[in-house]
Amino acid sequence: MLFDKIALEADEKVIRKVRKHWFVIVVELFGIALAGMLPLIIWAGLMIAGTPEIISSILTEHTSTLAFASTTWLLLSVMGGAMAWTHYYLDVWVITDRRIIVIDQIHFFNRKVSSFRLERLQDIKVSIRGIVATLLNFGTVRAQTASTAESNFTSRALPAPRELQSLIQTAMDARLMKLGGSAATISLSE
Amino acid sequence: MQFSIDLPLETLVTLVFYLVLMSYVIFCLVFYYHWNAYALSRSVTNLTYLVFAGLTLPLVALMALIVLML
Repeated sequence: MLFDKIALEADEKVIRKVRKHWFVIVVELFGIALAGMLPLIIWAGLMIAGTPEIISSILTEHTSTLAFASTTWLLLSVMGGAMAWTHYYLDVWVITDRRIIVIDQIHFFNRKVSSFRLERLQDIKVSIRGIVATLLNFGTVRAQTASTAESNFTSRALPAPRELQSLIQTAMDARLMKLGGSAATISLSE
Repeated sequence: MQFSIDLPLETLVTLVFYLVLMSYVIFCLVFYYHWNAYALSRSVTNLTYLVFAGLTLPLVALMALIVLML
């Protein structure tokens, strides 16, 4: 499992795991399901509309071959659906009380894992664009750290982005307070 | 110069079946690896395996049946 690989620090607590909004995967899977059903839809359409002589003879002569082709198409569609689900599920933001781990599963063999500490977080921006995004409450979250421009993290279609922004802000404040507290303790003891 | 291959439809379908089967097996291995290595929850992983197998294995069996009946 992933947490074995990430290796959380001692006493590090996972606050929340955030994936893209369900609307993203539903739309994707619906499209794939529709594409998978295409041979059946065409077949049914031909049956209802009444087929010309030539098509009708091909259909009766090569029924097995056409059934094989349709099944193959359906299998490939299911595999496509499984791939979409994998990309959706494995693409995740893990927010802990110390850092944010951003896992970007682009393709099966293209995976980016970045992590940044909450105390280095400078800015977190949220943008919600479009009617669907506004109604379903999802949007883009951009996190900027104190280091180079490459260390900016962006994720699209995250659910409840404002709540997420506030959660990260609270976690960041708590972290800074904790670090500030321990720094003060050190300086006092010195 | 023209090339022509006289391949019976049954042979072609059988060849396609083996090709698809090979792709399916490779896909399954990659799929298994990703879920086993990167998933955050064991129960979701198991459910995904179950649904994937439940959807694809009957289709593969059906394809094999059609090929055998050709």
